[in-house]
Amino acid sequence: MKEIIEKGLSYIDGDFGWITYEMTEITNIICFGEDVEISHSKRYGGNVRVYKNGNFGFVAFTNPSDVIPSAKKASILAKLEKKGEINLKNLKVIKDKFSPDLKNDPRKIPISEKIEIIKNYNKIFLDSKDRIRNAFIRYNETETKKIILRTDGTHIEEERVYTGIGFSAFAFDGFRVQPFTKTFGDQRGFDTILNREKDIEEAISNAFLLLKSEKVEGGIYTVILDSEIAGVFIHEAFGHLSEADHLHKNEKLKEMMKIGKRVGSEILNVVDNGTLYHERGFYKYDDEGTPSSKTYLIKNGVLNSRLHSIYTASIMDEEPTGNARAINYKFPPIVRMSCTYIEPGEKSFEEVLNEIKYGLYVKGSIGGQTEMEMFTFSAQMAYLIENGKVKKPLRDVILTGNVFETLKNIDAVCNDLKIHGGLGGCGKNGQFPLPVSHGSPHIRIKNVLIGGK
Amino acid sequence: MEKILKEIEKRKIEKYDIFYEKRIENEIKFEQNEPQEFIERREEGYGLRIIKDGKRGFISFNLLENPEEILERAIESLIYGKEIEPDFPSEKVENKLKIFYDLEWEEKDRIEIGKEMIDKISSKYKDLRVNANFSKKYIEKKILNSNGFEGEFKKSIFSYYIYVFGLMRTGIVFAPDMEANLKPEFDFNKILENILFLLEKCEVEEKIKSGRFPVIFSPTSLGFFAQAIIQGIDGKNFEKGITPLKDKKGEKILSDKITILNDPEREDLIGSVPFDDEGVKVEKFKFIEKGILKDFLVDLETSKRINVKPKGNGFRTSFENLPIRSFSNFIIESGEKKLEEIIKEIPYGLIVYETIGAGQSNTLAGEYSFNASVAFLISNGEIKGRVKDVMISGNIYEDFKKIMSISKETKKIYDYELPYICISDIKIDKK
Repeated sequence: MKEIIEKGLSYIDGDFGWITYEMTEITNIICFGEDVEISHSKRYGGNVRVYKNGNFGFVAFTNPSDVIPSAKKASILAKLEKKGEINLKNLKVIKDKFSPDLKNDPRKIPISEKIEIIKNYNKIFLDSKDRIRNAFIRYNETETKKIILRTDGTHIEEERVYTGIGFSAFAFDGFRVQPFTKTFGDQRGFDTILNREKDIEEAISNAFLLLKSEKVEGGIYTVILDSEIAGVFIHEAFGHLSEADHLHKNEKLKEMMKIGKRVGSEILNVVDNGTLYHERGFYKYDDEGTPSSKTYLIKNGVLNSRLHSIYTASIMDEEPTGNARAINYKFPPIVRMSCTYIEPGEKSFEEVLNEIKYGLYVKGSIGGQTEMEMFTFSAQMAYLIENGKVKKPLRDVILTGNVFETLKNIDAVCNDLKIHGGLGGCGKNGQFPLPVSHGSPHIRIKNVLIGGK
Repeated sequence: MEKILKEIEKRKIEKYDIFYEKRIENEIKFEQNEPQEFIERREEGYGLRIIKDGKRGFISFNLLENPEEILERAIESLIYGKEIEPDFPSEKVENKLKIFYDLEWEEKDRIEIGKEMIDKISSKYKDLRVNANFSKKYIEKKILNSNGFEGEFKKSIFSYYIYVFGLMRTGIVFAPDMEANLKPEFDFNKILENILFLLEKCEVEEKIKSGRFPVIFSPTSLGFFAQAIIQGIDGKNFEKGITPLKDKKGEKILSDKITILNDPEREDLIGSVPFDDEGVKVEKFKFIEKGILKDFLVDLETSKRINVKPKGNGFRTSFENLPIRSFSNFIIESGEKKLEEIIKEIPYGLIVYETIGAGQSNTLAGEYSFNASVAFLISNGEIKGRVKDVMISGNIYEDFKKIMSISKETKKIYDYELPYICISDIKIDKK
């Protein structure tokens, strides 16, 4: 297959070009109540991307034998317009092959064994019908093998194996359904799936607890976020803003995101790090063939850097950071995050909690969305904090605000960093879900607007 | 397909269906006011569902390298798989719909349309930027099953998505507009007018009080409502006992002003199809009629489980997936009043155009809570300026019982057709 794909390179007519080809094999096992469903999927596909005079032509194809017509067509498309600008910079020729070393490779485990483990997990749910109405388990195993070729001679082969599992418990009182979901996913192998009994029990008891809980009262609160929702916050609210494809041709936004600008207190350090081996957001090379890297987005409260593709880095005269990623062969790479997290500080969670007279302890994440400086994100649950003590649980907690005000209001960063992967991923410009990780220690934020009853 | 059928026969699998899909798409993308990327996608693939000894398995693939291996994996998924025997259709469905137009939408023409629109926006708003794409797509589907059903059709979809973003006096603005059509026919002047209206209103900032006030949800902001309804009436959620509508068939669940239907025969909406992705003829059906829940959405497998007649609601997100229950075209019937009249009747309230974070609450329970990112104050029957940092929250099964009016005007958003809906009191939290 490699030889066929390589032939396409000489048909690229442009300033620069890429050919990628990949195989993706997916196994899903789903339990919903008593039902167990299994599905397999295997797909192949590639693309040719040609850069010429400031524009890109991109053609995606299925069959390797279509590489030559695709290269010709992508070259024609790239010439539809002429901007006559910018040589792509910092292109280093790389020749490398990468396969992960997995302690417990899920591909080597028979399906019967996987089913057995999942059925045992499902039994815990089925035995809890006194507290929950139903439950859902999803096991996902995704293997990708990718070749990236470039007209400068770069030849990269990279293999990745994602394994993950998610549990949702649904409590129901005849009127209201209350779900509670926990997901786990990374590139560590099958060990990620094992020993999850406690997590299942947590999903059951939290769904049951929340069903009987009050809705949060809308208003302004001091909040402590746990690592999961703080990670989503930093990904949604700040990470997306650091993606250079919003800024590279917009002077006003460039000013807003000027390197050296103070955006938070000294204690705040935010990192995007694609080199965290075995995390869900890890990759050795991005989809343009640039090595992944560790990028400080905020260092000691000051804007330090941003995320780039080769193109945005060339336009802004900065270094590519290895953040050009695509969800699969059908899409061109765009600027995306990898593993984004707040670095740990010095205080303990108890210390930070003790200092709060009245506030919320917000835990777990349902999701988040952002439009530049504005964000919202939804928590799985919260607890009221009174005089430094965690009190009653609350449901339906949605936080919203302006990212710069909120970053300035972070007044404590704890010492307990955790990184989360999960099963889903990030969505941008119609590309969803892209595997990413996010994380944080517990953080405290003042003056957060919460929607509620 | 012949090679796969041979393998199926060899292994004595008597019940199966094969779904084939081919998509060819050509897309012109503008980024930051400039044409940037020109894309062509060609993809095709198969989904094979097999049933044996009362169990079901599924596999999908797009290159037929080794048919034997594919069938082996399919059988492996069947041995441990779901116990279900769906009744595959046998009836041939006549395709009378005109949903395929072999029309050109030249790349050069689309580039020109984009450039003209961007020129008009940036001549007024220099600091704002426009991203856009203009796409032409051909879809071909084929289905055959062990019950003798064989059907195929082609469909064309032309669409645009345009969004204006940047910093204005009232803060960051993100104003999108989108539509799709079976033919490349769009009124770009009207589209531009809509975008410029939003931007003009975004220039002035207004304050709104926290409290409960009338709110008009524009068609572009109603996604959260549609999502909650689709989950609420999903037959699978009914089967598993986790929808709040479980015992509500035949009962009033929303205001009697609202009717929600699936209409697969509209030749001006892109979701129209003769049969669904399981080969079942798609019926026009009012799932919610004057606020009353008429039935649940089913595909063949849930149909069998909950004993509801299938109406052609089994659709696949791609060949790689089994069908899920959904609408071909999701339509909320329009009302009597013009939007202008509805606005005039509101002494103090809000009109919402764009939201951030909608659909991330407990939507299964009907709950919603989101930031109204582009929303304007209505005062004494007139739209004033933009309000910011506003959270709107509630429960659709309570709030959509209090509909004051539904507009005559509707907007087509891909396979949705939605009006403006005005509700008498909605909870608003303001920073």
